[in-house]
Amino acid sequence: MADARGQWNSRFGFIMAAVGSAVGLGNLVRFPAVLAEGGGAAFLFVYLLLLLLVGLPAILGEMSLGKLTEMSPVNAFRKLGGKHGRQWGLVGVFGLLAAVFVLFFYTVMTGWTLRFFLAGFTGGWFDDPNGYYDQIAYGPWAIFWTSIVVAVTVFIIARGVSGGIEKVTRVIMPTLFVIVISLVIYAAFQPGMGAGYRAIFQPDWSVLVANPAIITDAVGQVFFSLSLGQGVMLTYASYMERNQSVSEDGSIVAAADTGVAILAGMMIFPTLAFTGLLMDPATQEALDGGSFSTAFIALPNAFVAMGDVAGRIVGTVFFLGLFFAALSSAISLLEVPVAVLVDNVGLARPKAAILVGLIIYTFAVMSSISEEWLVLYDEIAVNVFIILGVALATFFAGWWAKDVRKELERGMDSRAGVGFSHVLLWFMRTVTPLAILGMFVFTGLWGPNEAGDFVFWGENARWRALGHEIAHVFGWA
Amino acid sequence: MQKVDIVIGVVGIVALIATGLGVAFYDEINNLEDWTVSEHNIALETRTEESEASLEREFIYPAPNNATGATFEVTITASSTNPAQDGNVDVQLRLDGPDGSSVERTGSFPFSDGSATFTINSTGWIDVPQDFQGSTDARDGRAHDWDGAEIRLTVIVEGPNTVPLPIPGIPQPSYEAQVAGDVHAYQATRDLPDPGAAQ
Repeated sequence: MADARGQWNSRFGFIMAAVGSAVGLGNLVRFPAVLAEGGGAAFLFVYLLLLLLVGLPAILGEMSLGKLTEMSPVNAFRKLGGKHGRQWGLVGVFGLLAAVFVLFFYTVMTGWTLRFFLAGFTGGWFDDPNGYYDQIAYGPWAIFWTSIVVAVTVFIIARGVSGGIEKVTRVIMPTLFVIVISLVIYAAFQPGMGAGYRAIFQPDWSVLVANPAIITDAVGQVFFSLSLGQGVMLTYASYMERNQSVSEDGSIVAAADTGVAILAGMMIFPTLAFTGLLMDPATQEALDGGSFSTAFIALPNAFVAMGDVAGRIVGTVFFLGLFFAALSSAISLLEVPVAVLVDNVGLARPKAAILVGLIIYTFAVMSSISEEWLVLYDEIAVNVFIILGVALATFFAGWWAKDVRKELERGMDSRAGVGFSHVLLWFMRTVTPLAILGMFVFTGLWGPNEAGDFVFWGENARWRALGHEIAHVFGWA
Repeated sequence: MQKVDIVIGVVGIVALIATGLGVAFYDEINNLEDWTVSEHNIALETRTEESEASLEREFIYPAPNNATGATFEVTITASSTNPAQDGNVDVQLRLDGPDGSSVERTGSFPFSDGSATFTINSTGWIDVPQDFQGSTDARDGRAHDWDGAEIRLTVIVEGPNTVPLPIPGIPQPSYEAQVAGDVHAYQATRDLPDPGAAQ
């Protein structure tokens, strides 16, 4: 069955693809800003703890589901669900819909990264670092670049697991690592970079004490960063060879994902520091604004401050890395619905890829022209499908599917020993689902109000924000 | 032809239609607007006791809902009745937001043999006030009701006045300027909440 569906040619190919899925825009630009705001090394300590206790069991559980069944998400849950397979299959549908809804806007954002890379040669952000993003983010040209991204992704997926996905990610992921490491080294040798390292590594526990909601943010960051709940890791693992170890390879993916995020922080903040922009109010505002402001406004300003030659080179290389990170994630997301069509409907892969690509593109047109639709897709993906899907999936893997536990034990036996696998499984059955459900309920019902206080049913409570967004988009409020 | 080919064809047509509609109705969906600026033969003031003549004109547009920025591309043609006049013409284009924030672009262009034509364009970002009249989205702090707000395009053209003394019977040389171009309001995304799934 595996050969007909496709299979990774090598362990390295699988790891590159899975790391490519996990490493995205958030690793390169969101995590560093969250790290700096969340108390530096204090936040990092909490994040790593959550990664070990919550994220790692979750990713290993999801991968085990895929490798055991050699099926895409819907069929995987159906098969292991036994006589309740049809009901459990709905969890797979959650993952499928999560991947699809994310693609509705992620393709648009990937288009932004591509434009910023190409603009390094033509001017664009270098000529107008504060305004270029505003010019290109939405509009008819954004539709065009979204279509390019969708077409490229469809082409790669259509060529198959080893001939398409593996072949591309084997090139772009190592290139991304080289880019990130090179920029880290470059920034490390610039005078005045020290403040940047202090911003992300100096521990400030008072931030966590004053705002414990940061911990729920960290839980969410762990899940989103590892691409959980979207059926991606499950699908990718379904193409693994039998002798590959989920526990070993999954751990490598989780470690690489976090490593890239930390390296990105070591690249971005020292860069802001040595260009003299770290404490600039406009930069602080951009960092507070999130991933987009950091990537497309704060950093272009920093690159411009480096000078005409250095700034253009460094900036263009950075945006190439950002594009590779986004593209590899988009590829993995598109693979999920294609795999479902191939497995469940029996479609040939190229036609399934084209069909899914066209559907994704049609909905992405709205994200290309309207910020509100982009945010709506994201809110639905996160608040409806991902969080709930991950909670149910980890409960399923930890309590329902005995085979998953045996698979993990088999994998652990070869290296870390049986004891470690029991500990990990215990976390998967208890800590992980509780953490996810807790985050789901807590951030769904509690959130910052206008004054910034974290209260019950605050304006930014997830479910309230989702309802507001839906009402606003459809003109009901 | 298989059934899936028909499905692909239909979805493809839908995608094309969506593309066309998106392009055609982008401004309407976002309640954005375009304005055309066209002012001709605006006379500059010429004061004999001053060394410079200047023109300042302000074009005011009601800001539409959801717009948080604007681009402008304006061509200014300045000419003088004194063909021997040389010097520089300074141009300032300023976009003023409803809360007093502004962005401006300036240029200084040579003015020789009595005429000069130059084009200046830019992208402006206008901060949305938190307490602006109308509903606000607490999540991103953006105002969504812009009734009464204005986007101001201010054109200032300054040039030398090299005829300080009036000479009876000889008309005072004067500057004229023509301003033509477009202002396009768009929806900017600086306040975009961080998509959680975009990892």
